[in-house]
Amino acid sequence: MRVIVCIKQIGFIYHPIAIDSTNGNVDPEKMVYILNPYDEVAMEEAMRIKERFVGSEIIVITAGLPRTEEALRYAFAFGADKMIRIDCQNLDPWATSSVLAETIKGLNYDIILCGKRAIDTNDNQVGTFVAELLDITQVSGIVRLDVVPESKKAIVERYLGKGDREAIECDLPALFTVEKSMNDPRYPKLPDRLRAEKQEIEIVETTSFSTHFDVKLNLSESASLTPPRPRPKKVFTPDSHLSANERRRLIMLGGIADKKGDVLQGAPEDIAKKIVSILIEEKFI
Amino acid sequence: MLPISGKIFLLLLIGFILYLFSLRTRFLIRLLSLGKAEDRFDHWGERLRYTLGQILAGRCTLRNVCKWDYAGIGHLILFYGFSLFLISYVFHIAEGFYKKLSPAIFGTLFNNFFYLALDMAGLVIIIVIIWAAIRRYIIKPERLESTLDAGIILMVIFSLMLLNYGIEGFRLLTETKPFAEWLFVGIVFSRFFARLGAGENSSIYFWIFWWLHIAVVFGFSIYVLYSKHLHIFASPFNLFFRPMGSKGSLQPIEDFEKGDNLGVSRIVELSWKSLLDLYACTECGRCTASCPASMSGKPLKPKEIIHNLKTHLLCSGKDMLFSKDQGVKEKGWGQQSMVGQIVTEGELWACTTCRACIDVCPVEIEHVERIVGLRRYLVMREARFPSEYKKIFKNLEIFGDPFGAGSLMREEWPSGLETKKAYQDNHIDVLLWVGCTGALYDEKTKSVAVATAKVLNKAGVRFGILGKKELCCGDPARRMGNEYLFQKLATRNIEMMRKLGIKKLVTFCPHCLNVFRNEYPQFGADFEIVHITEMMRTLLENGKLQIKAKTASLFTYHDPCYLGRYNQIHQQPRDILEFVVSSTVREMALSRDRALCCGAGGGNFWSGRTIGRRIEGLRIDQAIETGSEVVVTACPFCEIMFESAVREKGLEHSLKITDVVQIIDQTT
Amino acid sequence: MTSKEIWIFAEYRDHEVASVTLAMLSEACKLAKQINGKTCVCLMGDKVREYLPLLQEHGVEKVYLLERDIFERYSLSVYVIALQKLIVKYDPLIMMFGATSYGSELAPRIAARLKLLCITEMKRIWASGENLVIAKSCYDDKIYQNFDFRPERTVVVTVSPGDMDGEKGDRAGELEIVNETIHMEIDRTRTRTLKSIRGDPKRINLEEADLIVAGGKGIGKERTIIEDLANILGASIGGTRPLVDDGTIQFERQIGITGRSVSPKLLITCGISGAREFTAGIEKARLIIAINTDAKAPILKFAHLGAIGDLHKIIPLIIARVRNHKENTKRGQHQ
Repeated sequence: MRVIVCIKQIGFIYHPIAIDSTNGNVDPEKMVYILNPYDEVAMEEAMRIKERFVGSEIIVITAGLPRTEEALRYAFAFGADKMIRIDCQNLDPWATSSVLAETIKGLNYDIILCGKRAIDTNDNQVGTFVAELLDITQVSGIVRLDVVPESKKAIVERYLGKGDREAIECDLPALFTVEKSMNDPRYPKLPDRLRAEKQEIEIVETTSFSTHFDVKLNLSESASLTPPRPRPKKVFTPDSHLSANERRRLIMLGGIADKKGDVLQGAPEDIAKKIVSILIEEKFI
Repeated sequence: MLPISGKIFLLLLIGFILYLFSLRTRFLIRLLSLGKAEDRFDHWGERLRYTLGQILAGRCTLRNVCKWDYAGIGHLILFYGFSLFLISYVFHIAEGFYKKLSPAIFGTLFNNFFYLALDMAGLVIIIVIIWAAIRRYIIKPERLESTLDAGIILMVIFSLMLLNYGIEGFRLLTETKPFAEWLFVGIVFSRFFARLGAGENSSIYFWIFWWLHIAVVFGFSIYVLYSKHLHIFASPFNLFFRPMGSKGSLQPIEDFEKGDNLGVSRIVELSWKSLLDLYACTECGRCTASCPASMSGKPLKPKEIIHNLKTHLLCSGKDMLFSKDQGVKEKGWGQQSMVGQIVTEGELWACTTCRACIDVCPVEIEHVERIVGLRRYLVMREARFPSEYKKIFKNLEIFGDPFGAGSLMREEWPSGLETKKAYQDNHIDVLLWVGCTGALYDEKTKSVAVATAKVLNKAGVRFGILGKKELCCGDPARRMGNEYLFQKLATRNIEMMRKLGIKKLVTFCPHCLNVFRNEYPQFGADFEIVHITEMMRTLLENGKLQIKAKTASLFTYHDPCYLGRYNQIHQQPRDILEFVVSSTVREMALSRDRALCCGAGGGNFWSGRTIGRRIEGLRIDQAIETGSEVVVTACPFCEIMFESAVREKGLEHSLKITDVVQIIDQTT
Repeated sequence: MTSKEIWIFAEYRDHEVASVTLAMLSEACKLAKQINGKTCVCLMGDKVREYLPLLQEHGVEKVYLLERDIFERYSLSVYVIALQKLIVKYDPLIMMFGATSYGSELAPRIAARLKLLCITEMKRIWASGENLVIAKSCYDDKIYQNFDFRPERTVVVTVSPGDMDGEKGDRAGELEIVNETIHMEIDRTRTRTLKSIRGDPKRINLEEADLIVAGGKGIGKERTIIEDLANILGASIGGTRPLVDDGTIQFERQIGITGRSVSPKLLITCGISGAREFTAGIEKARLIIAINTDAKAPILKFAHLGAIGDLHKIIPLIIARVRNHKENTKRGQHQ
């Protein structure tokens, strides 16, 4: 089995207030660079394929600046065989997908695994774009993957909501984007990480590519960044007007008057009545 | 004196015994050579003085598990008594070749005193042996196992005493003039034998007893090498080769590239000193009796680990030596990892690294170093550890703190206070090292940090904090076995301090204190760090801090392991409390060096899963027994654990947890 | 030039329209009013007319109906071709998908094929003169990216379920139905849906669960109380560390820092005080109802609705009322 894993080094913002007020950009001090957690899951799944089918090969690819090599090496340390970095700026999803597809075109593969989304830009597009550019089968958001190499097929499962799942049979080669709960990524062993530090990375230049840079399927470059605006949310009782996310954010900031959720008190019958009426209203029963 | 045939026989016997002895000794020493090299040959003089002091003054055996553990006294008596008898055995053997000890040899006085001493000693030893037997077989304290080995040893010593009296008794009957004057007990025996009618053949009986005695002595001397009594030979060496560095430090790894440097997997990856530890173990069980994990029903029992390792070494030793001699790769037991067969993972992860086991061990076996060695193997070579730790490791690597809060969040706690940032303004006398828990965990620990800052301000200490430049000291990583991560953090911290020119630090977290004081020097660091209680005590004594009003609640003080046992800081917090508390601070049943751990150490704070009872619950029970209203301690981890225990028991309104610094802040 | 039609890809299952579809409809209606456009829906499947009345109720003015047997089961390649043809023919202003399992792959695939602007996981959309302004959340909801642009071709967007409100739009007067028969040349299905696997709330992962009942120390020894509540609601069971420690629930059901992070639509906590170790795992829950006797319990700051009282009294009453309601609705349906 030949597996290609596309990874992205993302900027993770750990501070609740992340935008530098002077220039409208993300404050770099409030951000750390890590391997996209969804891509770790993809890498772990690739390793499970490798461990199941002897003689498999995993290639890890990323598109970005030299600093992304750190994430690449971390993914490699899971147990991959080869690393490729496409040398380019941080691009929008379409351009990224173009350079990825162009590079992957020249490789042999049975399966391409990507994380379903990158938790920084949250676009959920690259996986699908790459599949379209390569004109191969895709299934997004899988939570289970069973490969049948003899018949060149794979059977995957994905969520349908309410705990239900859908089982789909696909012809290979195919691209799958993985859901975070698919598996629990391993912690690479130290000798593997030390080896990954020394391992050579193949660098691919984009100058020779015929890419679709002219087409803009995304306007990320011209987007302005603002803190999230509290949105009026439909409430079942008059007072609270902030979502749990907002409330959590405020609690984390500290120093702000604590916003309590609504609180019911009184006789158990009344409380039960109120709760059930809310459940009915919100259509849980 | 024996006839010629007897002498020859005795000579041959001695030769045979010596041969067996040397064979076994050689085997045991060769087994040690299987272990890794370790340099414990420094400070000869100091080592010798320490060893002699421990053994001769009996300090080793007097280490007790709790106040009413008197076993050490009995053992000390046995030790002195038996040492006397050892001398007598020399004379005993000499008698076979030459003649017995008599006034003619060393003079009458010596003779009389010696035999008197022997007589009395024999009696005392018999009493002590009976006491030991009652203790072991009837009272049955939990830490003692009634093994066959133990039984044999007791029997042998008992019978040696009786045999000796038998010899004395019959000798008295055979000789016309008593060979010594004050043989009170011997006379009793001789009269006893006479009444039995053995008087006529007394010389025959004498020699029977004499040979029996020799046989038992010789037999025992060989038996010792195969039993736990080996400790009489091994423990002096073990004490001699003890770690001379600071107590709280674990050994670093020099070269991460070599696979079998990364922790301990097979028994041959232990150092020779670790293997010597196994010989020295007396199976007294004090370690298990003091272990908080054992006490709370977790799978860890330190004595069992040592015992299993010893058995493993002795059983597979022959194969391993054989392979070594042949230059062949080991096969069989020696090749396999100890984890899973000899030691289970459950045992390894349950350890809180409190060091109670090492402190209470008479022969100073280093249980913790062994456990961490195995952890290092699991974490670095196998990536096999409780799943909760993965997040901690990743957080440490990515964010520099185990919670994943991020470096800028370290500057949130002093909001409202004016604190200098050491990277902006280096006109400071001392750096307040806040630590991850104090800066980031929750309101409680942050309030301790705030109290520390306020108190330092009140005392006029010019201090700064590192804020966002602070990285985790690395203690969690090292204790959990991720030595690589620890050394990465350590080198970065040390470099940053050097760059900022920081020389003096103060902290309120004992874990950070331990790492900086005892472990960073391993990497060339050269800082001076004190715990806030050390500093505060001095300030209070010098009057730099004025107490406005003492607090009146009923307190009990808990010694944090990393402050007390690791760094010997027991008295300073108590002195401080004397300044600021009007009532006497109560002591819990186990305190100071014997204090019971809160259960947070060794990574257990992070794993969260519990088997059996909670350790912090046990400690809170001890606190409740003192009838106190407040438990005061000096470690943020202890505070978090105790708050959780109090919450679980529903005692939030009757038992409060606080830090020494907070009391100082309230009263000054 | 694009028409002023706002299209929504309608999703449905088990005779119910997906809530995200309805939520998108309300947003679309608001936008349609702003730009004087039309709220439309693409409804694909076989025998799907049953959903039309409900859609009309929620403000749909026009339906593009693709009813064919090949659309009965969702298949990415088939649906993409069909929608592709439709978009090319009618050139709507906006094509909205819910960011569901299907929508998340349909939207970018179509955008890639037709080279259309694609903005996923948007939170708000409104018109500003000739421009459209779209806000989408990134960096885990810490930052909004705001796009302000003049659309020249169809804009493809996806909306995350739960991010919009679903306030009903006004019911349109007449429902215009456009029947489209798409000519599918080649069967390019490279995937075959084998089956749907019903999730048993008792066995599914907590991360998948839409409804969770979580118990804490406050439930005492009676695990059955949360079991009964979970059963009647069709919810999964979760809990705090003490419940794992004493064996009441399995380790996989622990919620919190050292357990699972869950994002259910409904979470009912029973007897949980709300220590940080727990609340860190429920930040993404949509609606949290907390039942606790202690008015000062931290969970009450976290929950959308707190109920102070004895859960051993309240929960049985809830169960009784729910059972009652279910029986009434069943009877009502049969009438």
